[in-house]
Amino acid sequence: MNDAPALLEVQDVVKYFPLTRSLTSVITGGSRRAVHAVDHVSFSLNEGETLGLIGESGSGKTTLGWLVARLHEPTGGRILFSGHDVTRLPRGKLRAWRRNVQVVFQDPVGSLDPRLRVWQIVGEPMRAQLGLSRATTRKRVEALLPSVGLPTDCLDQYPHEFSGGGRQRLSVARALSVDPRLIVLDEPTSALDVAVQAQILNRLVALQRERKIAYLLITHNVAAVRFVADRVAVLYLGQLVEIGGVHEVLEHPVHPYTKALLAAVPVPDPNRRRMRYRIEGDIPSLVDPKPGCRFAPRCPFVIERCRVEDPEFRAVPGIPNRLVACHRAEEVGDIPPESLLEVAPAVAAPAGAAT
Amino acid sequence: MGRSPSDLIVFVLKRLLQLIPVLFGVIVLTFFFTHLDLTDICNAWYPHAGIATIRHCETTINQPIAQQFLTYFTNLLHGNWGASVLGDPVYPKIATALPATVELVLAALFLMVVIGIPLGVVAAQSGGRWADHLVRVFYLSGWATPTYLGAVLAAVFLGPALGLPTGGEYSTNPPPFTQWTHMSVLDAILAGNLAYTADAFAHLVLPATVLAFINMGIATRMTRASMLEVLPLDYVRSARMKGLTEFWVLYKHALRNALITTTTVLGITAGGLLSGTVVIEEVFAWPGIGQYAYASIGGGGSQLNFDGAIAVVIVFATAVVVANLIADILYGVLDPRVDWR
Repeated sequence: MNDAPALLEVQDVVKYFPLTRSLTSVITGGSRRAVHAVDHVSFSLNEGETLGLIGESGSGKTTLGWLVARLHEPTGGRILFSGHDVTRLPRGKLRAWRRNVQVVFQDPVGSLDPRLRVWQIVGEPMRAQLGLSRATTRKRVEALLPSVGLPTDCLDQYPHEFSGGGRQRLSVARALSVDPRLIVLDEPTSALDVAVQAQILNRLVALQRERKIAYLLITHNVAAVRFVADRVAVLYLGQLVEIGGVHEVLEHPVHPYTKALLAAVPVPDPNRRRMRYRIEGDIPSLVDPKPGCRFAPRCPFVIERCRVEDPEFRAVPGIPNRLVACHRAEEVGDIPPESLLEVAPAVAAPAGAAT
Repeated sequence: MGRSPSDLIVFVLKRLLQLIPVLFGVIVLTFFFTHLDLTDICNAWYPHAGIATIRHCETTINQPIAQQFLTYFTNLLHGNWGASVLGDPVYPKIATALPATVELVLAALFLMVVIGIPLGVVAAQSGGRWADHLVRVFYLSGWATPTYLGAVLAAVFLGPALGLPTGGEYSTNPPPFTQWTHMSVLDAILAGNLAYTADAFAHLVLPATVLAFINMGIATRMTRASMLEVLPLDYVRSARMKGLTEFWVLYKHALRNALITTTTVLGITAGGLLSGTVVIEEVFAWPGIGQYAYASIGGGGSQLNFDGAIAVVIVFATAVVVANLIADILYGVLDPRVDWR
């Protein structure tokens, strides 16, 4: 796997959204404040692999996905695709490159142009990228529809005639139409009911086997990640806190935030009802965040060092194929997430580390 | 209810049936308002009309008003639109004036569409930046201009400066060919007369530009607002993902959807424009229905003409209803989610 460059290499990518300055700030020459949506994130993704990207709402998952799909301009860092830097592609080349990466958006209503018919929606990427004729496009779309589980006789229907699941299948078909090597799945099932979610995920897994597509699955659904992903990355307030093989991370999370996140996943066990764990403390602002670990204000294991020094995203001795951004990874690594439910403050750090 | 052509026909017929009570109401109201006027209209005609005409006028006026209405309405149903006291029949005037106004309004709408809508796109795209502000200044200055002022300024300064004619439909009146449609440019084209086509076109430019400039804000503002609604949607983003050029993303995917609202509003505006050209037609000596309306209510030294005034109001009301109907049809054509209802 080391002989060829990874399909996707995200290197130290940063995305800041500048805030509108107030008049006084402009006059007094105050500094330009910005929301640090994605702050120095690095990871890689291999051909045909699925990386699950989990984190709570507002953690920058979607921003990161859109950066990878080049829908956002990164503020800093590089994105390599098959070893080529795609962050500084000129317009024309960027358009041509787009056939490599497609996106399935979260909202099955907003992501399909209500005025286009099925064959136009699914076929337009082909026409744009390959310059196909109308007749060829229709034929190709007709051939493509069964692979996402749609009937071939719906070519001339409009998206509003489909159910939520049907629309999401259309989105998948549109993404597949140009044979991309990577599909960014931006919460593809969060607007659907559970049964349809399972159908779509099954379909995605089958398609990946057939076509060797890599997925970047953005979701807050841990069960979906467990089912689909090979590796999982955990994002907290714009920074990766942990990345590793999906079963390893989910069974043995090292970072306190990952533990907390997994402990918060509801389990169908009536005895666990009382042991609800809540992460205490304020969520730090994403506007010009202070130095130090971003999870520190809410972390049950926080020590003074966490508040002043940014933790390095590093390998932890004894845990293979894992990167964690925590000063105390070695000490807290073996604490099971369930224990956070009851004993959170008990393992807390020495004196001076207030919660 | 669906979207087949038969559904559309039923829809149009239903809407046209609604026109009947609307028109009846309009006729009753205008008839009574004009006839309840206290001016001594018959003597006002002296000395333009002979004694016999004035006597006839007085016997008509002295009938009970319900009797007068019945006579007028029966005539109207028989296709007789009445005449002025001097005996000028109303219908031929309307038949020649309405097409001239329609031509003027269509030209103005054309300008509003080809200038106003792209300006709205530019404004939405550069939301909050200088181009947006510049566009806003442009359409607000049009919106804020009183029609009479804009028309007079254009006729006095802009026309001579650009070498454009500022009055009438042609340089020579009447033109040396049959006016089949009474739309100046179209008639010249039908007559195959190139010189007169250019001449008619030049005469159309100023009044149409003023009318368009004043009403441009509607097209621009609506386009800008609905573009801002559409631009953040995922299908615009996915259009970008397809590798389409930014132009196609904006004008095919975003604008096509944004236009649904703009078209509806423009359709309704068109109905209003047909009845809103009185001042412009008067200033530019455009022989349209606005000018006839002005003359019928005694403007510009002419004599009060009841039948003409009522006829004009009927035409205006019909125009508004028909323009609304066209807007509704277009709305359905543009948006596949709409059923004919």
